[in-house]
Amino acid sequence: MTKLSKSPLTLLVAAALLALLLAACAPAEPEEEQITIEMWFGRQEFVPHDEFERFHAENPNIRVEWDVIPLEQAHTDFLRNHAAGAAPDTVQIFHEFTATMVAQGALLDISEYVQAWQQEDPEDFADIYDIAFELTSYEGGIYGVNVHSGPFFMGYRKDWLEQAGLDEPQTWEELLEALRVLQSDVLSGDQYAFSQPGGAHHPPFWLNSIYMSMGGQFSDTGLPIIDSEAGIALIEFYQTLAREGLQDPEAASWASGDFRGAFIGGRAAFFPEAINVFAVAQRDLDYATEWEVMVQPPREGAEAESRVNAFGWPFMVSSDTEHPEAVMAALRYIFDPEIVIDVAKDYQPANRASVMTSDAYLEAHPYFPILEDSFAEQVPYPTHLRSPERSDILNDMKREAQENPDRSAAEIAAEYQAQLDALDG
Amino acid sequence: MASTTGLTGHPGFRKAVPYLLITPALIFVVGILAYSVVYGIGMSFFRIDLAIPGRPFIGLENYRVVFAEDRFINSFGRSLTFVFFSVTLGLLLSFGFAQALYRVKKASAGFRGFTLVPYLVSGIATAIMFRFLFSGSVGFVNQLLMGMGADRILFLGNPNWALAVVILANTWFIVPFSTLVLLAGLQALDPDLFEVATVEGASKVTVLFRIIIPLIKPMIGISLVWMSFASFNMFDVILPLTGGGPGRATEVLAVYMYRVGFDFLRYSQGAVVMTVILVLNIVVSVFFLRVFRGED
Repeated sequence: MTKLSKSPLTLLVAAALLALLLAACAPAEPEEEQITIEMWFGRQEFVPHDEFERFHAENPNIRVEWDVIPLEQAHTDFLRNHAAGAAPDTVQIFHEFTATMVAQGALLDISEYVQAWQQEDPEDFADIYDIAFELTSYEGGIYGVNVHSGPFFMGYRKDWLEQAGLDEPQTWEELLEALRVLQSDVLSGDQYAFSQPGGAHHPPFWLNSIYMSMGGQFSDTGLPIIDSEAGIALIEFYQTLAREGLQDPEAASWASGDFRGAFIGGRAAFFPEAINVFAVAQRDLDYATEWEVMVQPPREGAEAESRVNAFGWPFMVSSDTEHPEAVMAALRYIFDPEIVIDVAKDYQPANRASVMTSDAYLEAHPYFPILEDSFAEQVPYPTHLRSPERSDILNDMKREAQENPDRSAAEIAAEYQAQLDALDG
Repeated sequence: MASTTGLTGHPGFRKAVPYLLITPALIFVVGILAYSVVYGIGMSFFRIDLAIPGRPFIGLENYRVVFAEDRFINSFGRSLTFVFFSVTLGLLLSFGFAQALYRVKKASAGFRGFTLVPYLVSGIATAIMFRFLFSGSVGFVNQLLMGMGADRILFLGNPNWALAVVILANTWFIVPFSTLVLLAGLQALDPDLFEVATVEGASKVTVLFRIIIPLIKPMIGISLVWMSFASFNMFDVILPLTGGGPGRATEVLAVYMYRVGFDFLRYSQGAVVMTVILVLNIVVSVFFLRVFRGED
């Protein structure tokens, strides 16, 4: 039996070979699928400063490819790409186009993923302001994440107010009175008490902020109810500015740069603006001595209805995405406190409490404590299927009020309310 | 004598060469421009509106809706005014500049090149420049006026002044190319003609109206076609300069088309406005080319 009398070494080698053979024949561990997601940012400034470097290290199977498509054209470019079956996984838009994009079936309802996020990390989720999802909600669905939003507050010349012996106004009525005093007692030449842009270059962001602070309400479809006390008060405010010469007569042709320049250049006492512009103002004016910020005040008797409007640039998720979990991971990364703080400091505020109250943020934006509570309670300016036309009508209404300061405000309100209502037809 | 045998020497081939060489350019132009125009006209018969899903064929309904809108009627009127004054002012200026350049003998190539500068400046830069010139208190023109003790003029805040400013900005843009077209016409004339006419006792006015203008009529026609075409399509200067405002004072058809198509997302109604601009361009061009046809 020579065959059985093999040496132990031979047996050992045979066993090793057998083991190797079995190992080679064993089913391989499934390799993790490589996923590429495409994201469109509306401005370069919104891109995480590390350009997803840490994300790629933490998620080796997900590759984020990103591009910058200006917000002004992002919704149309996205819809065109979507129709051609080549949409990116996420797109950053002006939030007012949410309704249009949902109507086209271009967005994915991510409610279940948002719920999963909340269940998985309740502490992280609690740090996020409600507006992050309220602004992207439409008819019961959540279609994206609103990482940044820019509610409008008010900047004013503190030194001029002190010179006139005035305190910070607590209502729109007091504010109007302060404008009158400043115009007559403090300002001269081409200095004016109030600064705002005209209507030809921009949607009426500033008008909307005043309207909502005055307690203005919206219909179920998202149309402002102008023929209301708040709407009429808004029209009367614009009429007063024009009638009493409280703003530059050329303001009707101003773009945003002009009216901001008027305040920063020392030619205006009050200007309704967002936090990112305050950051620019403090480069030229001494904060807390020359100028100060405040929440836009309520109307007398309508304090309970006064709200701070939210206008945002949310990241919306495409209905064509094949990797919603990976998309959510990327969106959560953008919203990560360590990542979003850079964008918040340098550009637009983030909807995260820990970021907005951090030392790093407050160092860059020392006025934020004054605005903090209102920022946390932002209320969305509603989306509407005919949002750009709604904007045009409101700009027309403002122009009509300023060109005809003695016309009945109620009459103007009724005329433009009819035009607004026709949009729902 | 060189051999003419082979395909390349065939007379038919030699005649075909220019057409073969022009074919790529033709394909490029037809492929991009004609396709867009035909597709755009086609769109105008469907309802393509991003607020409403679907794109059904609706015939002339878009035309009915657009033609009934006050805003369209306003922009149509504004466009005609804008084009009329732009072309009139543009022709006078470009004819004057062409005459001046014709007489420049030293460094004439440099002057001709310099003339083109406004044409080469982008629309947005032109708009910003005119905004700096005409804005309220910090604008150069108002600074000048106020320096002379006059009140400032709200050039961009007053509807009529704003229209005048955009006409000026447009004229600034269209005149250079038109100048070169007219200059080419002047340079093609036989200088002996002027000499003979002067010897015969013709005045300068007679030379201008009896000799120069009749002889460069075709070039005037081409110049007018260019200026009217560029003016009807003018958009990239107006939008950043006035945004179509104040109110709708400077909302010409091209700006209105942009608003309807790309702001309101009513693509097919934007296509209607595009068709109107196209028809206006064709009608005006044919008119100019017929009126200013050359004489044998």
